[in-house]
Amino acid sequence: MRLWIWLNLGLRSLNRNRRRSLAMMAGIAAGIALLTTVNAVGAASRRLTLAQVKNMLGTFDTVLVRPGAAKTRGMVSLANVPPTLTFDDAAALAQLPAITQVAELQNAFDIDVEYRDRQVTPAVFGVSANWLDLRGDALAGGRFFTPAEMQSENRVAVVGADVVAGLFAGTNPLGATVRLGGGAYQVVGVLAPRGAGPGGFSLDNLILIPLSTARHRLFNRDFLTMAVAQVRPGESNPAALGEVRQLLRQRHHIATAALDDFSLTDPSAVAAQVTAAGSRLTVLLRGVAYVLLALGAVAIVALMLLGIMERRGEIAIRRAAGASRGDILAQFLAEAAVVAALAAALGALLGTAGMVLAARWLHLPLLWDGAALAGVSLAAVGLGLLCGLLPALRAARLEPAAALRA
Amino acid sequence: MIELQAVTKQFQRGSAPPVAALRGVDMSLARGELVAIRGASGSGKSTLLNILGCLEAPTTGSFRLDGQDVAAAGDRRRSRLRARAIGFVFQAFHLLPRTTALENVEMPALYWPGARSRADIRRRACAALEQVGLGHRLRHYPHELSGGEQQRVAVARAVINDPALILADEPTGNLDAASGAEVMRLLLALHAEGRTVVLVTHDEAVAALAPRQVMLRDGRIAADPAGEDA
Repeated sequence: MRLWIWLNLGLRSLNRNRRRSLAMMAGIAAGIALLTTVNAVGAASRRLTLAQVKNMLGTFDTVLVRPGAAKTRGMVSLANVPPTLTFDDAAALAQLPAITQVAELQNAFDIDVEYRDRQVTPAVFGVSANWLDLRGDALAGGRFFTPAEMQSENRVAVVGADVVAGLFAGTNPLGATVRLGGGAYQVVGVLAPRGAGPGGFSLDNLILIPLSTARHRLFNRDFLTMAVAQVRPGESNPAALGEVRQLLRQRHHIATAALDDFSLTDPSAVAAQVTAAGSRLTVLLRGVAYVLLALGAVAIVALMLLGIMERRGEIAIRRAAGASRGDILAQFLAEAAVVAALAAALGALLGTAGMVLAARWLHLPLLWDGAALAGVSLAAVGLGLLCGLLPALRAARLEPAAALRA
Repeated sequence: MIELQAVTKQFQRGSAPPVAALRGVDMSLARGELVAIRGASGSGKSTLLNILGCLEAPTTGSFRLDGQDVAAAGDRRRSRLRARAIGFVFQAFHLLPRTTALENVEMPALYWPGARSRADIRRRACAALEQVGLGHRLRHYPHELSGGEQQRVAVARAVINDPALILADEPTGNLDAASGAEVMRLLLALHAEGRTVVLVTHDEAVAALAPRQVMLRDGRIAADPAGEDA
């Protein structure tokens, strides 16, 4: 009740000198607005990147094995990898204590797929039976390959969303027959869309066929472009990675000092890397926001001190009317708190507007983190109280007698 | 009601030797008395008023108000005493700027030690302003009021907490004769209600309205008819 009286008094006092009150609020409000916007944009772009990385890499409890000591990341295909990662390698990896199962892949990017008069050139993936499981993929319709189809190298296919859009345009793809590398493949399933990967390229422009079919009837190659080894629950990714490396070096007879002829990727490490720090711009803008907050704090101290010099008469007459030093202290602390709270509210409002604009310009999802905003606003009120402490103490120490005689 | 014994007040400014404003004042005031304190500037009359008003503590000596020893009281106790028992009127009015007459009068109610409802405070403030003849000026701001009207608002403010003691420091010093007479009429009315009124003035005509006049010179009482009797 008492607190409400002080806050009300502070509000009315600020209202009496609006221009100064605005000057007191400007820095804090601008700092909080910028901080809110930058944090929201940072969080949104981090979440987007993480989602894209997760889209591309699938599940995180895996080790990705690719042939060749690839220094550059990029899409591998049968055309650009050395023939060093064998089916026997994959089978041996599956026997490792830290690995539960291994999915195998043969793929190419340059094969046309035709249906009636339409033609697309998706990624063609020859995959093992456990592919969907290890990639975290789901089917939107139809079914996956049966063991019998895998066994007898049948020409069946599961298609991605982009292929559906490109070839079938509204008609049902299930049961349709598409032409692929001179063979007729029956579509038995449709993949659920995965969306975009890093950089925004589509992860849905692909067609899956059984690995055995790909190996013997399409590519005629006896090596893999990628193996995905699933890490046993309870095992750490780095430990599993070490086991995989040791086994492959041994199987490939690599001398102690020589480099690997394969490359290993830990998806969780990649994800951690891309989500760790924001961009340099984010760091810079956050720094600017903190400078604005500091300037705002200095402005509150300076303008309150000035205000107290001008309001010596008011302070003195309040003391004469019965205000104790504590009452004066409370009055000016409340004023500082009200200033900071209004500034925080203004900043939150501006920051939310900035966030909406930034999300629109940068094509980012809108992330309104109410808890973070409340935390920042509360911190601003604390800052205001801290800034108000010195002026309020000075006001409380003023001797009323001298000011009253004037 | 008020008992001062051997009260001195010294001011220490930096490293300079202390300046004595009061050099041993003995004075007693009965409840309901009207006293004028006179003296040249620098005679210590404002300091005496500040001590009577519990705004400053005496350096030495004893000061009893309503039987309570105030000389050694802390800021909190003296502030409560001011809120409950003392009303001030100053030469320079000291109204809060950009604040209506009504809100100015209500201001001391904030520091009243007990609980009062908003409505009760508002009713008292309106009554006090009507009593000083400003019932039609409730929403006016100080700069919209004449000097005499401002001082009447100050008188209303002084009585909002119904104090037993009114201290007026040169209440007519900044006013023309007519306004000054009106303010003095109000102060005399407060005395007539039974309040103790202490007037500090160097205006003989104003002082002459008080039955008892205390003369101060160089921080000592030079003449006090009642004091001589006592």
